[in-house]
Amino acid sequence: MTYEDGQPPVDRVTATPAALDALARVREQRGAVILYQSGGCCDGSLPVCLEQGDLRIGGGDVLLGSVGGCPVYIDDRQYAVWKHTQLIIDVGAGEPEGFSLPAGDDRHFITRSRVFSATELAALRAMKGEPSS
Amino acid sequence: MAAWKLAPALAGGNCAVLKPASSTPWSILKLAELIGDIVPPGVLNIVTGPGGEIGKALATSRRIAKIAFTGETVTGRLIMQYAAENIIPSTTELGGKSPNVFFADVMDADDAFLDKAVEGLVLYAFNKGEVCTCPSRALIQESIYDRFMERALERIGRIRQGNPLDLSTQMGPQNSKQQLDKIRSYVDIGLQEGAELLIGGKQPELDGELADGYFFEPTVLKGHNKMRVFQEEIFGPVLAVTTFRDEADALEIANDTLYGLGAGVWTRNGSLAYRMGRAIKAGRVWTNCYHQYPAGAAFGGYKMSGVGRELYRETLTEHYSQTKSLLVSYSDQPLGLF
Repeated sequence: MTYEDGQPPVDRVTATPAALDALARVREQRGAVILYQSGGCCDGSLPVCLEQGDLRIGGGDVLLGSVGGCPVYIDDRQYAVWKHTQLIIDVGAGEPEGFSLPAGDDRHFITRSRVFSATELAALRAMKGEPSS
Repeated sequence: MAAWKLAPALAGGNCAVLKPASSTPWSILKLAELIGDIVPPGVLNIVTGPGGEIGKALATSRRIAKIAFTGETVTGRLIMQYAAENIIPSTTELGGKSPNVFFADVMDADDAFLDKAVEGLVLYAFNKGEVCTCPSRALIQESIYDRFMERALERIGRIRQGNPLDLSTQMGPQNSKQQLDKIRSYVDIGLQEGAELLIGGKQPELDGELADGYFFEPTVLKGHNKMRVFQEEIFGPVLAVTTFRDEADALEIANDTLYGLGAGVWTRNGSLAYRMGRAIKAGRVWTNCYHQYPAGAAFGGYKMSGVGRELYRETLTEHYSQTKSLLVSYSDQPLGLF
């Protein structure tokens, strides 16, 4: 994606200090990792943390941004119904389910969300490279 | 749910390795206690622990001939990817956001059927909403909305929460702190999106040993289908409710979802029920009932709800055994060619 002034005016995804710390530790142990926003059953609303290269990234995957040097993706169909909200990567208590790497001992990554303001939404719409979904 | 996968695998003469969700190992270990001395050693294997380590090792093992998975979409996608790498079949059940559609004629009479329909809406609270097929979107025809919801909310308000071992309890605590936090955050997103809280929305005030339990009140949010609370599986007792004008509108809203696992249709009009059942893109549509799981009825989803069906005959014949053609000649004579 390219932006007129080189930077997106509004972040689609951010991370809390706790998530940034956890990501730094995971990267120390595992090397490069990605976060992929999951959907569906059980813990489907959580970001799944995977070693880079584990999941084949395809044409239908939207790169939302990067937190702590870690790319964050979402399925474009899910993006279409989530795009009015900012995703905030954080850390919660307990082991992750599914195949996600933990965010430290007995911790897992979680997604908090915030609905964008009208101003932010207008800024996002003005951005070049807005995923077309 | 483990039995949905284990029973056909064992009936097909296979050995099976089962990995329960990291937060729910107990019930499957209990099952193993019951049947462990019936199946021969090595046939039923249970591995517990974190999916990030064990799941991948199992799913990529060359010794596995078929994978069945229930869970979220990204792990489902990984399962299918690993299955493709090893050229083995997989089935995935990845959840849903099932619509429960109530046509105006359910209120044509104040009778047992109307009571059943109201109960059908409240079934979103069954098992605290922690069911893949939870009827988590209620679509109510606008002409009956106020009167129908009044009855539904009255019934929801009477749900008794408490100790799940107490027989008078109707709804226990959520599965985990993670689940409770997620449900809370979804209610918060819904309110930010402009949804109206009709009931619940918070933890109940319980005393004594239950005070710190992971309880959440049965909740109803009124809004529109583009809200995230209408689009994402919350896996908790949170119902998203909206209205529709007519049959076409109901169908459009019902199918405006990434998922297609279950659906409910409530009407006294048989033809309408049949048309809706045919047109809703979901692996199963309950008509004038919900949450029935008879053996033999295929279970599985359209769209992002996953690939494949379980619980019916073909699960055994197509997923857990091979289809083979044996072409045998009982004549000793050559064909006479060449």
